[in-house]
Amino acid sequence: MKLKLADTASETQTIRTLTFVAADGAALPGYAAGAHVTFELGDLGTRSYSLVDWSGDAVHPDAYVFGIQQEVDGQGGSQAMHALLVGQEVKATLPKNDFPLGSDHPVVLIAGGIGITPMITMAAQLQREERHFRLHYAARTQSLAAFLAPMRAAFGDSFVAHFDDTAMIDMATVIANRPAGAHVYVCGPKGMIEAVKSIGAEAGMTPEEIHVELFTTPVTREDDKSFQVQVNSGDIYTVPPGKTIIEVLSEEGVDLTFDCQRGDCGICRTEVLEGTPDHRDVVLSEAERAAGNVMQICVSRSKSTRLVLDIDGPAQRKVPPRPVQITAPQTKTPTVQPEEASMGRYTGNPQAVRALFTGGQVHRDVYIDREIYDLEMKHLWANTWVYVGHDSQVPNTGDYFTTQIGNQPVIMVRHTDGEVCVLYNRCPHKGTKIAIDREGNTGKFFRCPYHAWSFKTDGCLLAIPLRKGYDGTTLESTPNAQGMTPVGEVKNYRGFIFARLAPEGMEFEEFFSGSLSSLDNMVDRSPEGRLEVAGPPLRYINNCNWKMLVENQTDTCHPMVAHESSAGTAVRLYEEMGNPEPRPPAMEIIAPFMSPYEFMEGMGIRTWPNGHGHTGVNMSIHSDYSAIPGYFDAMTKAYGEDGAKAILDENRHNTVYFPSIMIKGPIQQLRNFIPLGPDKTLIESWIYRLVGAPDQLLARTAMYNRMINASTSMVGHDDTEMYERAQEGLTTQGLEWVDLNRLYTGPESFEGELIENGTSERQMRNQFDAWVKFMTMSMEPQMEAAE
Amino acid sequence: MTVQTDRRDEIVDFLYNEARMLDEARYNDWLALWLETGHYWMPLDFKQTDPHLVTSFLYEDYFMIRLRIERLDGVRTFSQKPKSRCLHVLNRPFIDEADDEAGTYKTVTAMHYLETRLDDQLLLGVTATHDLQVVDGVLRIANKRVDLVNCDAAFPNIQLLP
Ligand code: FES
Ligand SMILES: [Fe+2]
Repeated sequence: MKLKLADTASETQTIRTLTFVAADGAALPGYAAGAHVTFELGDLGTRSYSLVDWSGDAVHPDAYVFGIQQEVDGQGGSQAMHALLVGQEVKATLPKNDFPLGSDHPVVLIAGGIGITPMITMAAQLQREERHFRLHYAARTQSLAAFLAPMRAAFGDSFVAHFDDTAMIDMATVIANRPAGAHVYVCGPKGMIEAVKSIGAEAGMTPEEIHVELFTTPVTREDDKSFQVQVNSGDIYTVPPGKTIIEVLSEEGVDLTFDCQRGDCGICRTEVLEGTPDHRDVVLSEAERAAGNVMQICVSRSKSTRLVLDIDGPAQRKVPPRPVQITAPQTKTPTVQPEEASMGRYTGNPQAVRALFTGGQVHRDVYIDREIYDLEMKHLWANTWVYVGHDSQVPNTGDYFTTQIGNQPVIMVRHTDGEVCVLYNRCPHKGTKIAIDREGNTGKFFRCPYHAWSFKTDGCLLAIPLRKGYDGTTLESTPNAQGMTPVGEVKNYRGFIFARLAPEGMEFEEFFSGSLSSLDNMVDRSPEGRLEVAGPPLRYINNCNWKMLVENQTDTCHPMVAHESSAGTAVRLYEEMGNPEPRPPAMEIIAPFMSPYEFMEGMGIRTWPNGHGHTGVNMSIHSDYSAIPGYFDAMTKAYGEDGAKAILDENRHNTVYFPSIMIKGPIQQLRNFIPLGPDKTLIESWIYRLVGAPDQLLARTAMYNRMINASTSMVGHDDTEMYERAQEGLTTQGLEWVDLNRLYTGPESFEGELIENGTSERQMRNQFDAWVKFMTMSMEPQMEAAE
Repeated sequence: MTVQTDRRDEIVDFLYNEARMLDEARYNDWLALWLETGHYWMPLDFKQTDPHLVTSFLYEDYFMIRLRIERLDGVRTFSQKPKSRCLHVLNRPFIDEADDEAGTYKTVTAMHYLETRLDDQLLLGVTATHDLQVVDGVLRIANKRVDLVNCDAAFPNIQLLP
């Protein structure tokens, strides 16, 4: 059929509406929403465009209307369309519909960019049929969005626009808010289609409920033929002209890893076991093309009638085994390491470090000296097991969370095998941080935003664009070619992720030994034995050394003094009111901070080796909370009455997991101490939901968190004031030592478990004993090293 | 967005006066503006909807508000030696909802909040949402919500009331 251009109108800088009538003046065939027409553009090949209809009924159309976007870097098809003059004729096919609208379900339409065109027709038809629908239109900016005003006028509240620069479309919410039984229709760029498919699947949608149309057709050539692809399972698929291997296999549910679909990122590299690929990418080197045993399956096709691909092979799937010992590049070993070059009193001098702790006192340098701080980051925070995050923060494959271990930025990510990995947050190319948002989902791989090097979620290098440029270079022999570096070791203990930066060192169980009983008790308080992070953490900065905070966790002689201003005032106010019942919540949470010395002595302190310990052995300031209806029943059901009692009778106050965290089992709170400098610490205070327990428990936990730990908390103000005054006071020349002698009876051993009077400073001494041990264990004495 | 009401000037004056009481540390006058059932809420999460099952900076009932004010003057309130000072710089308030018959109003006021002590000064961009209620002919605070524009940042002590 021949169409004649009757009218054109400009919609945005790059989008024009083109209106065609039949060249011979005859009536045009009708069509249903979702249909397209294919234009024949001579040498440029063919181009298909969706029909736009605003009437909702295109059975007898007067004209064929299209919205066409000029693709500057396209193959020239859209330019040719834009260049048509009114009155000019062009050959076209009859309308064809690969994207039909189902008739028996509510509909959610999602359009990205120029993918809006078929959606207008669909929305108009749905509107006319008075069916329930919602049209979401995502564009990069408002000025790049076409047809906004007419869509608002036509579809009213059923139309929602989203702009990337102001309020980016939140696909998860769009899909979560769909009406029951709704089908989703999406037309837009590949990334959007993939996002809808994966989020839809996660939200429990079946593939039949998701209808997709890509608005760009893959680069095709006149003489493309269909060919067959056989995969590992033995299944054979036919790839017709106009479709790519990835498209065909993905539609059949084969799980592949890919990104750009333009043949330049390198991620979809796949081993070829049989057949001759027709390479159309710009990634592979000449040698690789000639060898013919790998290909990029997004754009490349086949010269033979059949290709046999290894889609489970190393390139697509399997992780190349990472060498345990990364070999450094073969360069001349420098005679002086950078650290030694700037050596002060303590570097390479374990003797001097040991001398900072006498058993009853500790030298102020551990809090104020920059060199000590740097050594802590290098040794102590690398040799110990440090808390990273909770696995409920990364429930799905590709979910990640960024944080620090000591001063090292890391990413915690759920790998494709379901395990949680912890990687240094650094691109092996130029050092760019791979992720800077606090959390997100990266899909199957990380992609560096600078030059698109890509990495599997266990860090292994996946691809480098134009990788052939590195052939024969020294990159391959360096650790940079391995990808993002994982930390030394990772342990998921009942949902709590810990890591040790050093590749070799003490095992997790030996490091924590009996102290894990506190974590167990916190988790066991869930009738299902499971915790979930509840909301974002409080984050606050204290201008003091991180160890002051850690020590304060078991300092039972400060509350009745430092917190008199808050807890003491609360008690007084309440008395003045005549002790009304029920008690205001503040009385339950804050008033126990005024407990007298005898109470604190009776609480007891327990220490374990390697710096761990807790207050509240016999009872604690958390013992007297009111019972929450339904909770004990749920616990009894889960553990039996005796079991439930045993769990709930433990009311441990603060348990320190040296060096990085403190937990409160009865409150389900965790404080994470993140050092930012010798005199600066970031604290994150997280709370957890006890899965299967009544919400009132979480409400009390959230209340505790804000009353005690917020930057706006009165109790917090009391503490911060003390830490910061101490940090400043320590710089005076009056005295050099800090005292830890309370209930010290001479040289003590920290091997094994010990319970003591609750006002003892033994736990602080225990921490310094561990501090010395983990500071010096990897320190080469300078004198020996020189020999 | 501002809607029509007979009490327009009264509401605007009320909000400016409230801020001035805080800036001048006239806390007992300020407390008298509150209905005893009210809550002073400062959410932690951006666009937070639930004050109970997610952490907030503040969700203070009348007892907590009183405690906070009492504490500021305590003999052993070391974090207030010396005392902090603050300044609220208000934008023109929006009156988003008004029911003259029921005497209930909702206002939204953007402001800069400055807090200072010794050599440190903190500047916060905040939006205060007030639920106001006429009781015995005068406006009172039924509830107040203060959102920090940088709620997800790490903060030092914030000791007074934004
Ligand atoms: S810095 Fe990451 S790819 Fe270049
Ligand atoms: Fe304290």
